[in-house]
Amino acid sequence: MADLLRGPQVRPGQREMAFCHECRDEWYTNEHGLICPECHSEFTEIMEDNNDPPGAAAHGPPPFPHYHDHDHDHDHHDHDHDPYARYESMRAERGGRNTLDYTSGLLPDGRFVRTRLFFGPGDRHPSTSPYPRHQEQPPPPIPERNGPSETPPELMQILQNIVGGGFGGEGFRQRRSSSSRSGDGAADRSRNDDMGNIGPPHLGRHRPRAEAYEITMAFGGGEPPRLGNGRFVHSPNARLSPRDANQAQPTIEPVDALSTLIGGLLQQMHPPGIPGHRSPGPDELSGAFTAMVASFLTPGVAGDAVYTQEALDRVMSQLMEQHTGGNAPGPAPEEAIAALPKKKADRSMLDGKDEGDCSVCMDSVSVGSEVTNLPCGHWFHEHCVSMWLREHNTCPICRKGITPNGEEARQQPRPSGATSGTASGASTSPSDRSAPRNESEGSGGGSLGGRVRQWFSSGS
Amino acid sequence: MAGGQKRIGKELAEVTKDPPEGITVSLVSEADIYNWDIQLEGPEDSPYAGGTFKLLLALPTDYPFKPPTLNFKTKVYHPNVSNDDKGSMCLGMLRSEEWKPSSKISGVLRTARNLLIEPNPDDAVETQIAEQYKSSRKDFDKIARDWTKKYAKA
Repeated sequence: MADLLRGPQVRPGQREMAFCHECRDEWYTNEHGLICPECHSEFTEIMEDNNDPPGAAAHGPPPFPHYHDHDHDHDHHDHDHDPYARYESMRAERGGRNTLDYTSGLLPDGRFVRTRLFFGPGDRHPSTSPYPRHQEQPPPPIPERNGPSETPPELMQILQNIVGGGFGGEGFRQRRSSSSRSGDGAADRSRNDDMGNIGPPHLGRHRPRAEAYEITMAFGGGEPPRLGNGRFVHSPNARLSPRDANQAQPTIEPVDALSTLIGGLLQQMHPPGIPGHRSPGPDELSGAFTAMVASFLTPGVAGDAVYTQEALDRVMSQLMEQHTGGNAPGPAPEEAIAALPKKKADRSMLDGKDEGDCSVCMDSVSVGSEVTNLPCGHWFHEHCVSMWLREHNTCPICRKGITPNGEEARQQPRPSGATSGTASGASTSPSDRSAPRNESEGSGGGSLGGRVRQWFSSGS
Repeated sequence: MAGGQKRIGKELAEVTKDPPEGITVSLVSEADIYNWDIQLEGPEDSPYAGGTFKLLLALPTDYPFKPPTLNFKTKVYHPNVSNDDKGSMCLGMLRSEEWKPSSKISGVLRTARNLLIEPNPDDAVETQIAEQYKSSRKDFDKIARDWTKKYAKA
């Protein structure tokens, strides 16, 4: 491959020199191949007329040595040049080993291209190859090419796929025309990257007829994030891909900026129905992922740590919610519930009327029905009040406990219940009133809670 | 919890027939008695005046033994309403430790509207808004008015 890329620039008979980027050794490739004979590094490069790695390396990384100026090199192809000869010689050099890995260059977007060569048994007939292929379909007809170029078009295809949009010239056009997509080179490349990084997907279809083929991987650029049905596409390098200003090309498909991407994610997380927000579609992100992203994006929260008072408050209230009941009064003792006196409702309990309501179920209670009386004087259906008391030892109306002193009632009832206006006949025992009020918890309800309670007890 | 459903039905009928001032109630879906759409008119003497706020009242299946939850679906600038996609309204009476079964939904809704007139910065969910409410009321009123104009006017 490297040979092919720089092939046109090699004059016949000239010996190639290679350069090791690690130990800066130089050697002839036909003697030692592409692996540095000194330090056995694979980070090596073939030196060319217009590329002097030792010189370039002194001033920083080499400027994409293999991938420039290819368009105008097509004209002076060496007609006798056999692009596959080198594979044979390399294979021989490597003592018959069938693969060769090397770093063949730097992509314009900063990624490395790592290439692995596979050598066949020497026979150039693909049908006899024992080596696995990506796809077994026969190569499609080779498009007509003008000009005497000997380089097989499939190889051009491979080159284009490796360098993506950065590879201009005839081959570039050819790919454009053979591609029905309107995507730009960068987008195409990122699609290729998605296919498990196993190099050009065209490889199978446009495989060279030689028993040498390559798997090329790009390193360092990272996978572009692709989310939710391809709705959000982010390719950090898209805007950096060179384009040929002299040729008409399809417009570059707009790639979402990161901010747009995150905005889209956030929108997906909003529940349906909020004005101005799109409802989540069926392809909604999975809950776990959404939660993860949400936790990243919640201001002031980073994992378990919070940095703002607001975030702390939010976490605290979340925790309180999770603890069902929070610091709500605990259940009343079962015996105390069972021991509550039952009696038949009379007119005095029903405010002088024939019918009243049970404050829990709101069902009517008429004179003569059996109700359960609480120490505070409030009455309810037995079923209704025991349901409540089994969870909280408070009167459903005035919040007074049913156990006068001690037991579950120690921290309850909350004295704020004593503000009830209509707890007629309620025995506000001293122990109730002096129950210690936890200010930190009590401040929650504040004056409002008290007011509301007053309101209700007077209203209902 | 058939008893709970019965009570909810009664309360719905009551609130529909005799709605608290500035409040309209309907079911989100006729088939679901546990989720109520609430339309709240911003009280006249508040920076929310002129706005109509949509809320979702969600009743637990064991209502009235557990409190309902109230969420603003319209964005509102208020110390007691979380400024996130939930818009949870922090009502003292809806806290599990303060809830009592005799509290009625009409009362909850009235309290919610009163909280628009008189925020409770000492029990705030948005502490920064609460700080502003306490320290520079003018700025708070202005933002609350702006938000009302921006989000609560259809």
